[in-house]
Amino acid sequence: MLNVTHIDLGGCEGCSVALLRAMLNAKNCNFKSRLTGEFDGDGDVVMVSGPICMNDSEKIEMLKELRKKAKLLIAFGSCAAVGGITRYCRGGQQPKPHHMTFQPINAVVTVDYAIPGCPPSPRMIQPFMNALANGKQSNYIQIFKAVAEVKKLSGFDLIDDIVLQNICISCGACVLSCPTGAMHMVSGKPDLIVEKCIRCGTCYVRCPRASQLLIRRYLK
Amino acid sequence: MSKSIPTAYKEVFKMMPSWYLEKPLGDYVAIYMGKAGRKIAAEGAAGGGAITSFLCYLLDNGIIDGVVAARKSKGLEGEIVVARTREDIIKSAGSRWQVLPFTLKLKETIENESLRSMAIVGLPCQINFLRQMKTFPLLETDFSNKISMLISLFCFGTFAQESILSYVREKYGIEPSSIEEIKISQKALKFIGNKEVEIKFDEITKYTQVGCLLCPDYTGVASDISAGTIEDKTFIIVRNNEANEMLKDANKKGYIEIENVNETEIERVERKATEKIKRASRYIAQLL
Ligand code: SF4
Ligand code: SF4
Ligand code: SF4
Ligand code: SF4
Repeated sequence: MLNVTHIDLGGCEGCSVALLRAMLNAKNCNFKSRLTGEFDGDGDVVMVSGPICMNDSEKIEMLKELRKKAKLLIAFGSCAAVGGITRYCRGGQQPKPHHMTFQPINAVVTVDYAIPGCPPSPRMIQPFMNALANGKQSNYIQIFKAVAEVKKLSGFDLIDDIVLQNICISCGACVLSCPTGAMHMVSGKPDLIVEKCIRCGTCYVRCPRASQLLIRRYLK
Repeated sequence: MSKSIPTAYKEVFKMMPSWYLEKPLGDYVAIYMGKAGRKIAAEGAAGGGAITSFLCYLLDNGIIDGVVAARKSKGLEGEIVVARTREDIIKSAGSRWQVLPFTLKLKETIENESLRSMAIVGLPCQINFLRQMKTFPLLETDFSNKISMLISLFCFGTFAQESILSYVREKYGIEPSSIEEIKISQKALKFIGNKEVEIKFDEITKYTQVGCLLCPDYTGVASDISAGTIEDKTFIIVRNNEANEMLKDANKKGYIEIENVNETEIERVERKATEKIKRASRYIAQLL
């Protein structure tokens, strides 16, 4: 039995809903969430969704406390994992602060696994929990470990790191994995429609070259 | 094996921890040499080989309702084909499963064809991506539950299209736009266009895509079944018991003929796989 606890720091609730949908029926997990009124900050696995506001000292302290208690801290969803759209979008909405004050949670604490996706599909949660429970480090869970080390990840990075370095093999995995249609193929190579990119990072972890480099760079 | 592949190998496995240290062919439960069985050979699909026949078996027995694979459309360009009947499969068998990246149109194709349970034949990089998707479906639209079997073809690299096309134009005077077909055999590519020219692989390996030089996976370790052609037979690596049972049943029912493989053959493929791992390790060190 894994004791899993969840807190949302101020995301759009998409991630919270995804988690609730998956975790309330999850096998081998004892799930508590602030959303179900059961949050107590204790848990072997702490799932954090939403970005951290760097002006909010109370939240920052809380996050640090959670880190101290947690055996594993998981950044769930693009906002918590890599900043996602919250950090990026501009609309002059009230209330301020500016979006740049929102950062991925690894700006404040060490993260064990970071799962991109806006939100990650509920279907990936049970297999992820199973992988944590049986402790098998094989198979693609290592990618999430590597993402925990980076502070940004998006279509922009994919273009920079893979396409412009000429190590793209034109497989189309990124195009297939982009939820907004921001990636498309131009003359056989991916190109980014910048206005459409919500900086979720899904394309990056799905690219066979990029994920390989991520692991090689960050998991020594 | 382990003594002959020193640090280079370990380096690459640090980069791909999901893969299996000191197992250049990945994890497997059985290895066979296979070819099309009586049942299929009688229907004139001799060119297709063991995998084509095995796919027919999967369809006939209702294990899958379609096969998705890439095929050459024109020149070096590929397209996705969905084969839904054994006639389709046998028909496309002669054209060989094409070595070209193709994941791009997959989602559309699967939706349009309303497939429920399919086998996908692809290259190691594609199979790796599809396995990742199947393991952790990050998107609501990921169609992981529709994939019943992933079959990987051995791959040592694919060509950078533009470079190779301009090379054959410069050197042999073949106009890229005139190319009707490119035939792939084990040792050469045959271009058929305004001229017909056969070019040995050795001559053109330098036009391998740079991305492929970083790729350490020769057989497709994330597959259910991996297959590569050796002479006129198919070297088959089976990675789980379920797939193994199916192969055995297909053998029993006359779709394929499989026999055990001797150590020397296995070592030959291992050497090739190790060579690719070392190459990847070299190039990745340059990049980082
Ligand atoms: S990652 Fe997407 S779904 Fe999750 S909180 Fe952020 S904006 Fe919402
Ligand atoms: S290109 Fe698409 S998948 Fe990649 S970060 Fe942008 S929105 Fe996400
Ligand atoms: S997933 Fe990576 S290698 Fe494949 S087309 Fe996109 S950038 Fe290129
Ligand atoms: S060498 Fe690797 S990356 Fe290149 S086509 Fe083959 S499997 Fe894909």
